[in-house]
Amino acid sequence: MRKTHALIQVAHALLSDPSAQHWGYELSKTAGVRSGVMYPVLTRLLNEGWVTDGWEGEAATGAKRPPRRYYELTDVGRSELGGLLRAAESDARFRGLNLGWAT
Amino acid sequence: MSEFIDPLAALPAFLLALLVFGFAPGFVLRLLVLLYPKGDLRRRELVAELYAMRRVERPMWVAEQIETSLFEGLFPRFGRLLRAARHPIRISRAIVRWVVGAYINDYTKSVNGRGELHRLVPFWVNETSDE
Repeated sequence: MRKTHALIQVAHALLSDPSAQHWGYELSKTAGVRSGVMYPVLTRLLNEGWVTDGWEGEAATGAKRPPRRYYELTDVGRSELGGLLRAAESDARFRGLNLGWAT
Repeated sequence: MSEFIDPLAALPAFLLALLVFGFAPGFVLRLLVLLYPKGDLRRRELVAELYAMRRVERPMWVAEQIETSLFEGLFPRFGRLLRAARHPIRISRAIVRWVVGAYINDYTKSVNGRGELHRLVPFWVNETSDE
């Protein structure tokens, strides 16, 4: 998969809580990526099998709003994105991203 | 001072706020998601996300979705159309395959209403003489 700034930022946001369910809007805020860029990234991650998706239950929404789609990292995704982040850490292209890496 | 509290002066602003933060985001988003192909999960996803966020954030977020729906919804649709238009032979071959396949190979529901399945074979093939 092509390494882009958006991918690295989304990977960082997903790995900040690897076992949690992530929502599209919340993820775009955490990652600091526009939703116009983030949704295509999520589609790529889904196609690779690095994340899975699902719909939240009725109990969570309280029937006040439609159920949201969530994204969850798979085991493969955790290791692949972890590797991607480690590689990006030493990559000069991604030094500008403020992801809390030690300089 | 009285113009600040005049309800008539405040009415247009109230209506505008109602439009921008209440009606318009949902309406525009529902139009935008129609750009996605039928059955695309993104249609449901984006509408659901809208109602989970604060009203103040909705108008800007919906404006962002114009980009998303153009790139993920509309352009792939055009791409498929263009590809199809560039390869008319492929289309006609696919149609022939579909028609012939339906005639020779496909199983279809019986029209006698009993729900039995039977095979449609061309008139020149005698199924009993296969052995």
